[in-house]
Amino acid sequence: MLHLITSHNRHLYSLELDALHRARKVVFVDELGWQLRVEDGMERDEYDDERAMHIVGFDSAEDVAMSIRVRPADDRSMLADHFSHHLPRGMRAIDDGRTWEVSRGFSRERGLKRAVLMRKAACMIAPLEMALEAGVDRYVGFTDVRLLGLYYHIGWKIDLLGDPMPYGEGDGVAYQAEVSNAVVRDIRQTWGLPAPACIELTSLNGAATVHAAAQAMVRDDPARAQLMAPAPGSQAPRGGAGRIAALAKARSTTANPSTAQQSVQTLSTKL
Amino acid sequence: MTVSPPHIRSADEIEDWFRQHVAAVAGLPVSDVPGSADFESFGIDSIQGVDMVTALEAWLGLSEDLPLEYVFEASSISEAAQRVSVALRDGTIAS
Repeated sequence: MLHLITSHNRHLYSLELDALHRARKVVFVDELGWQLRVEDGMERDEYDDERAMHIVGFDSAEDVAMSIRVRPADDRSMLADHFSHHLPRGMRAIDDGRTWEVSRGFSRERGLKRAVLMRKAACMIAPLEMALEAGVDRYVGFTDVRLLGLYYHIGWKIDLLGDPMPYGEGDGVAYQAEVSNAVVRDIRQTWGLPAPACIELTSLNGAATVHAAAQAMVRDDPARAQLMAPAPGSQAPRGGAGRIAALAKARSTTANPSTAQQSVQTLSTKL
Repeated sequence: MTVSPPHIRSADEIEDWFRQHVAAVAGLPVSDVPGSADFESFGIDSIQGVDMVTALEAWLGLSEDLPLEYVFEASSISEAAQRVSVALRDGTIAS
């Protein structure tokens, strides 16, 4: 189930937010090797403030399965603060009041079947739905080039802002993504998603937990209920290579800048 | 100038391509990637999966996107290769 956590309802989610920051530590620090600040086993940064909004998908065991963070970019943004040297001159201002930033997106759900990709699509349509409602017409972000193919296949309309370049943990590129009714409609149709994809709780309505409250909300709503990921299975991948080893190998194949550049050139043509 | 029509790969050729790609990503010898196996059993995640389909599109010289379902809803690598091959031959996917 996808939950939207904002400053309005974060008091309901203190346990879940801790779980989210622990999951981010596992994904970004332990698995991807990013050098990020970790305290008490949780990864947080300066953008996890009152203005941050978290879309969090929980699996049937009530663990964090996926998440993405969005935040208005009119005061500060990761892109402007840390990656401005990647941005082309003359681009539309990031702090124009109609731009939000997306960051710290991840999914721990494995699998390649449509049902899995549909849940990832739900996690990626939710920011677009929220932005539309707020009168925002663009997202910006900085992403590892390897994620671009997934963004594209989910249905995000992305323009690359400049060329990809090493950012310390791989090759990254700044981008802007269109927020429009047309994009949301296309993604919703392609993946058969409910509208909106997220549940936004304002109270527990007598339920013991946010999960129970969410279950009560979707009891008669199978389209939204199917966005609940199953608990991870115990089956290990073959060969002992594992996801981390496979990821490391995939990363090493893009270590050559010319290869990475070539791959992004291909993607940008398709985008 | 005469332009030759693109070569339509056979199911066997596509299966070999899949097996080599999966072996490279998973760090295994190709012999450890049987056609009867499912892609998911090698721990390939969605990013790697999309990368693979993008590379396959380039290798096949496709002029349009290959729906992910052709590959990932298959129960085995062999079945995925068969699906793609059939779609190429009957024109469901434009090459």
